[in-house]
Amino acid sequence: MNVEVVKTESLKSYYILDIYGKKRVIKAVDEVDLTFEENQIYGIAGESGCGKSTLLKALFAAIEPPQRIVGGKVLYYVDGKSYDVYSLSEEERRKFRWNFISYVPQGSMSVLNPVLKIKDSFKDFIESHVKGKTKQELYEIAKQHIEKLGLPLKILNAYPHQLSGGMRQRVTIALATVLSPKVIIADEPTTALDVVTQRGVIQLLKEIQQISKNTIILVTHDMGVHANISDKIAIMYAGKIIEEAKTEELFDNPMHPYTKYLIHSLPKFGDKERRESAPGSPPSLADLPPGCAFHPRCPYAFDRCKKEVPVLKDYGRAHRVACWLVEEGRG
Amino acid sequence: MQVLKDLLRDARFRFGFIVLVILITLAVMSFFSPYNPFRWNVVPRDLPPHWPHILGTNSLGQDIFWQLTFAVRNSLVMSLIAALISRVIAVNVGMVAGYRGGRTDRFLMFLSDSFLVMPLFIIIVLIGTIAKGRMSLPTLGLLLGVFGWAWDARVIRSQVLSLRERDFTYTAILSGAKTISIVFKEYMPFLIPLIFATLIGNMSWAIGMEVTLAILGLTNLNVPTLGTTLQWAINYQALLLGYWWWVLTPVVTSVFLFIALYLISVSISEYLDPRMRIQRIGQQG
Repeated sequence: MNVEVVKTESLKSYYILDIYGKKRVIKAVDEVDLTFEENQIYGIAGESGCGKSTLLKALFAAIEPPQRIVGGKVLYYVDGKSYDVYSLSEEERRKFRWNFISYVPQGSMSVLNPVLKIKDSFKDFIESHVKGKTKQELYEIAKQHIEKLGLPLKILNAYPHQLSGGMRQRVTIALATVLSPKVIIADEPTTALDVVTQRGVIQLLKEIQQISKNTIILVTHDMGVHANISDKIAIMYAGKIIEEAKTEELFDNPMHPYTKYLIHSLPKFGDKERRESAPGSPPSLADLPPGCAFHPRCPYAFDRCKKEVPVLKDYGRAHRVACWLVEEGRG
Repeated sequence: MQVLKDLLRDARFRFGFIVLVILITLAVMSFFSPYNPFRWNVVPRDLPPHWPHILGTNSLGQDIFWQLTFAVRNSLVMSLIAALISRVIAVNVGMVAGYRGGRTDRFLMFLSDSFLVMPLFIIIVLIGTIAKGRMSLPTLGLLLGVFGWAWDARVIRSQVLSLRERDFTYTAILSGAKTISIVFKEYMPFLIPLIFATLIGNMSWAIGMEVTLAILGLTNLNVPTLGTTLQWAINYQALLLGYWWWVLTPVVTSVFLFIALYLISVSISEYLDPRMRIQRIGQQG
């Protein structure tokens, strides 16, 4: 149990912009320490612009300027060995992709090549990792995989624009899992789908996870989705992880004021009270307030919050929080 | 074969295809010509069309029909050489510049811009004048090929630039695909219509260029092409003397050739876009 597969060590990824000689640094991912374990659905939640996508790109080692890795490491544990991704060559990294770590993009029209049939996308993706197979054999692999996931076989002969949004999302999931990777990163897989389809997509993800016992890193701002399938959740705010706990623990006993707002804003049965949301709006990552980034919006903020940046600390039951209120026992 | 069958359902393709087949047949027939195209006075002069000289004869004493078979063959071969060479350069330059970006892009675009701003026609005229009479058709094709790629490289580059920023490129990169397979497998289907359209445009341009150079008397006039045929006709006042069969033969042939090439390129471009194809011919297994 608890075998690590991917780990970040004080990962810092900034966007460094040079506008007319004026340097601007956007700290999109700052000092992130996360450990992703085997056989787990790990949820990452946070509002738009808090650095979720940047974190994913850093995990994937698919960064392009102006994004840069300023410090820290991303470690992959493959077959008992650990690899620091950023010290690997481009070719070695390429081999890990899809085989070890794969990606379910946000389900939109444009993530699949619009002029290739689905089966050809499958063929191309498998071909870049599996050598010495004929076209027919590659199609056969795709066919078996689609059958295993219980999707209709005729989609293989379709073009992306002929599929509905939900089916397209399922196809991207099928595509991401075809080489049975250890880690699957799903970037907002249910966004832009209606709730019924959302459920189907989530169930598919869950089934795949249960069958192949791999790790899914699920990124979405939808707390309802997290409550349904995530085993463990990390809350991200302004480039930092501010709280991390097991799903039940987090929903029962949220510690950070921001997490409390997030969870209290969810509707409940029979409760007709007005839902309260966090006041104000998220800060700009280019111009973060000093101290705790949440303090301008936090009703319980006190002096220390405005000066010192809180660190992520374990308060028992694997519940980690970065908040001075908790630290000082005021929460 | 299925592809050709689907394409032939389009009237435009059918027309272009038939015209092109006729012209290619003509070109092939040149190998069976009873006359040597370089010899004069092999038949009676200035005869209007009638059997056995179905397109009449010219003032040089040549049979126009059999001259035409040589002209079509030479013009097609020359324009194909020009178009293929410029396509190879344009596709490579465009793809590399578009995908690599940065300094490579700036250098390659500087090169293609240089070719664009150079007064191409005058340079070709100059080279034609220097090599007067000795410039063979393959050399002319080579010359036009080397000068004709710049604009098309820009077009291909701009398409690659836009493809590079699309989400599916990101998906493909993350799937661990190699750069070369992204460019050739993911981008090629988008680029083929462009390459086809520019190929055919380039062929028309090369043929037109050859006609212009021939009329100016800058190519080897002994070699029958569409251009030199016209040049001889004008030189011998065929229009004034009412030898319409002599003037019209190369003109009508070139017009049909241009139209056929254009229609084929339009039809193929449409066929290669799956959305258009399904609208037109319906879903196929």
